[in-house]
Amino acid sequence: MPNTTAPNPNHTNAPSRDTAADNATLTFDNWGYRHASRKHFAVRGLSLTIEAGQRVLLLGASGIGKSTILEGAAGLLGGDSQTVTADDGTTSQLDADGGVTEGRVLIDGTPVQQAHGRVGLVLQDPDAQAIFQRLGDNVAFGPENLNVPRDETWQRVARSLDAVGMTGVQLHRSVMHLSGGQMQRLALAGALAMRPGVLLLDEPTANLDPNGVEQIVDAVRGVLDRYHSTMVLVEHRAGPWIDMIDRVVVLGLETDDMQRARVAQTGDEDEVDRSGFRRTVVVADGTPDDVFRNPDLDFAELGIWVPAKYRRPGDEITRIHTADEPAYSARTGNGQVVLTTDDLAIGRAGKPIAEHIDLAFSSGQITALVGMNGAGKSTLSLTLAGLLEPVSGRVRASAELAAGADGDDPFAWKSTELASRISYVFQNPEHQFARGSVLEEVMLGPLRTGCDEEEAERRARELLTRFNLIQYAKANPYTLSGGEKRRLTVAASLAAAPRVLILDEPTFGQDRRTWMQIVTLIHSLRGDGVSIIVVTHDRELVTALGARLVELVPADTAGEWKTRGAAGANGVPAGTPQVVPVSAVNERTEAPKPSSRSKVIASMNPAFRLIGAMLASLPLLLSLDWVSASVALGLEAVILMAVGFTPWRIVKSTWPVWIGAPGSALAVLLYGKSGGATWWQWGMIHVTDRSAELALATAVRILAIGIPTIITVLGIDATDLADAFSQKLRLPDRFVYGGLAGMRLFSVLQDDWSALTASRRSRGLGDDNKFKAFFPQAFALLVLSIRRSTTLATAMEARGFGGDGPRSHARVSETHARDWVFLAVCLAIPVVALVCAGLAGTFAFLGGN
Amino acid sequence: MTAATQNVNFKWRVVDIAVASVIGVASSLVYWLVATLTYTPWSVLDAAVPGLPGIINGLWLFAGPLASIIVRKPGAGLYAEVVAAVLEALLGNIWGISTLYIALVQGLFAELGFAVFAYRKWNLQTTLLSGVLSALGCWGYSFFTNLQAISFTGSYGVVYLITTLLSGLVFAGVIVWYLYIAIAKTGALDKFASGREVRN
Repeated sequence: MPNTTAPNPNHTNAPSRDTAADNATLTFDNWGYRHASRKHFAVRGLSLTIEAGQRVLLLGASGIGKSTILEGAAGLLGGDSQTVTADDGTTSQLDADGGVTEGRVLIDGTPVQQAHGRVGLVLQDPDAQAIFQRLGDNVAFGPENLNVPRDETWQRVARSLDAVGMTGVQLHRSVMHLSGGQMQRLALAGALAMRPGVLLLDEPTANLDPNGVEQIVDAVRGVLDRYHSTMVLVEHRAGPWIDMIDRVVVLGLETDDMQRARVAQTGDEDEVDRSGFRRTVVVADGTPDDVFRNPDLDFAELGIWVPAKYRRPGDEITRIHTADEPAYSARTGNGQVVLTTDDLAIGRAGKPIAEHIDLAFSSGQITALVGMNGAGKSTLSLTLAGLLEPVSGRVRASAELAAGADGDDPFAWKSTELASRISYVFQNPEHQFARGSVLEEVMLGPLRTGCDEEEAERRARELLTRFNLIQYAKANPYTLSGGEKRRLTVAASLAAAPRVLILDEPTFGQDRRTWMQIVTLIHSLRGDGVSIIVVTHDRELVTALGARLVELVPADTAGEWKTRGAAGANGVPAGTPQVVPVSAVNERTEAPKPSSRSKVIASMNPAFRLIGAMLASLPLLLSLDWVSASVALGLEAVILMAVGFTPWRIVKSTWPVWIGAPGSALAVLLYGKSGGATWWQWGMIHVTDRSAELALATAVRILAIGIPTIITVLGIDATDLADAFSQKLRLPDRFVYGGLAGMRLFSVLQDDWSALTASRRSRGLGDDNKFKAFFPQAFALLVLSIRRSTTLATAMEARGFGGDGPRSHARVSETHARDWVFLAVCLAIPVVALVCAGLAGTFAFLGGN
Repeated sequence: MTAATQNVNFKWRVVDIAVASVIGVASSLVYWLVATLTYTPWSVLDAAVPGLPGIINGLWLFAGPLASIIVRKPGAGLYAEVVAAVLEALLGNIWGISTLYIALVQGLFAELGFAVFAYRKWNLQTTLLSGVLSALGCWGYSFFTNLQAISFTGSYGVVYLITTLLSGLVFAGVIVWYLYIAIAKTGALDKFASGREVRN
């Protein structure tokens, strides 16, 4: 063995880390994890070594624990734990999340918790991984958490963006305007900037359109060629990846009762049966050729889309057929038109993105609404569903569909009229849930549209049985698995017996098994004579359903489906799509936004602006008198005009205080401290000389306090403020940046709120009075926000955030002499005002007696 | 429940920070929606019908007690309120940075409800106490600022106190408690002792 003294080349850091291999070996040593509140371990007794530089595709049925394995490999599980010894003497680690860890995960022999930054993880949901508003800050976040010096951080940002094909992109650009593919490449760049030796990809393309999939696969290929990182990929649709994979590992469960490992789910079960579960085992391991040509593995049962070159007869997706299928074709329906559009223009906020749309939808017809991301598919489908107002033209229900409703315009219908006619299934099932149990969820539609309790329950049970959900009748809808949630939303929509059913991306992110269930389900609805409209990117779905195609084609493109044709993999064309031209999806550049309308104020440090606002306002509370209030208000007006505000702009920016001030003044006038002549007395009301004077002082003072506190703060960029809090006020980074990341979700939650409002209208809940409807909807929002924030926490920890070690700061928060001058001016306002009041003899401490 | 999970661990995890801050963010969205619905009429009614404004004051108070009862770390209620207030100030809603003052007062008072039991009792009673104390802070703040000219011991002050406390008891106490139970039942809180307590 001549080589024993030589270091393993894979384990050393080569001098030029940018191009040379810096990959690591990942080892699971009898590793297991049980999530909080679960009876069974998700993964147990797993022993697996992935050598440095290997590119591994990890396969296994839904619920076998693939995501848990990746989270474990990224060191996100089992933090802050204590040792627990079981009755049989074995030890495990109970962590603060309530989970239990057994065994170890090692990176180059070091426990993963101590291998900071050695593992990079990219998750499924692109939106969940953008932590900050500005693009560049997201990439810099990982290096900051690893305490990388500032200059090197920005070099890494540039190189990582370059590696994922985003060279030269504007770093201040908002992530709100990125497509899914761009977002996911950004997430990859964020992981790369940490210089990970192991790259973990958890279904990175599940939520992307075909164009986005291409982008991310190319980006990963480029990264692996450059850095030779170890890669572990979890993905149902392995096709686009297969030529860069050199090892495929298939996982199964070993149970007490069976010799053979249990590999797949049974029947319609969404999770693998874990009774008698003993440990997670590798059931197949080898090159792609070895594994995919292994005749013993049933990939369809595993939920895997077999890559094209390994497909066997039966793996191909072809046109499907279901029992009780009508004789007419799905492409045409039975010819009875239920919904038409007349010269329709669609858009949001009155701005049309497409005009002159004339479409017709028939009973028993399946229409696929296709087109690239951002083309306006959702806008059109929401308009068809009576959930969005047409910009011009109209959506018209046929006489048959409109029978019994008020007119033939779906948007004008009452919510209950809509629910029994046109139903909309949202992409995110959690936008739709409105009740505490699965049974009530399905009964909701019938109850709202006039069924009695008994009939509603009968119908609901029938649907739950048909959709194989009856065993969950009493369960909380949120606790179901992904595929079950989706089946439930379809069942709940159907329960109101609509004639038109619109589904938004029903197959997004599903494995092949769940996909098959959903597609079969949609197809079977044809037998009920329902007109079905699916919004989709999924070519296999179109093939399987034999759907009519309607493509939205932006003005600057040729259209994806039109040019390529929607041929299924078997070469049978799905027909030429009917084209709806829409306006161009613009790729815009953004100018950095000024942080105030005044250049002077914008140039101040954000923390100083905040402190200045406090200094200018708080001391005024010492005295309630008209002199100090008026002097302060006058000074503020002069100063604000001097720094570039017009009086009208001041009033417009601060309108709430102009309503609040007279309101409070009126209360003081009627109920305030009395003295002098009585003007009017009635019940509790006592208007006097003194209360009138105090009312005036109150109103003016509210303005004097309110105006600077709004105007000096308005427009501050949250990220700049956080940097100032961290660097100037020395507040702890964990809380500052945790809060900042939460704030980015505000706009996401606003969109959630709109979706919740629309879904409630679609489900017949939209007619309730606002107050009554508000609370359940606020509840749904809170549940969504908590789910989003736990994902956010995972994404932040995956970038090394939250440790106790020092952090660096990629951005500098600057202060200059002018910031101190600004504070002095702010403080001078109340001081001068109060001195004036003292000289005039009107000073009244806290309003006087 | 095993004995181990009952040990009080005051160290904040990343998920504690994220959830507390997002409860603040979601609350500020809810506040903002309530405000746009009620702000103008409310300001007028405030004056015309003494006590009525107090009745809906509790609607602005739930972030603190809710974050506390879910996250169960000292400071969670205060943190959620401050995140909400800073966000509202940056968006230019209603009162600018003044929202930060009232958030500090309400947050601190909400914390008190749990602090007096050394952050070891997490039940309906402590949640009610937190809601009521938060309302007390809200009431005191009003009289220290906008309503200095009204005697807080006079009839208006007393009526306003009673209605505000009642509102705090209902909206920031009772409703927050059942809201927390309902959220826990969805499984969204499984990473928290508060969620596992309800689900197990």
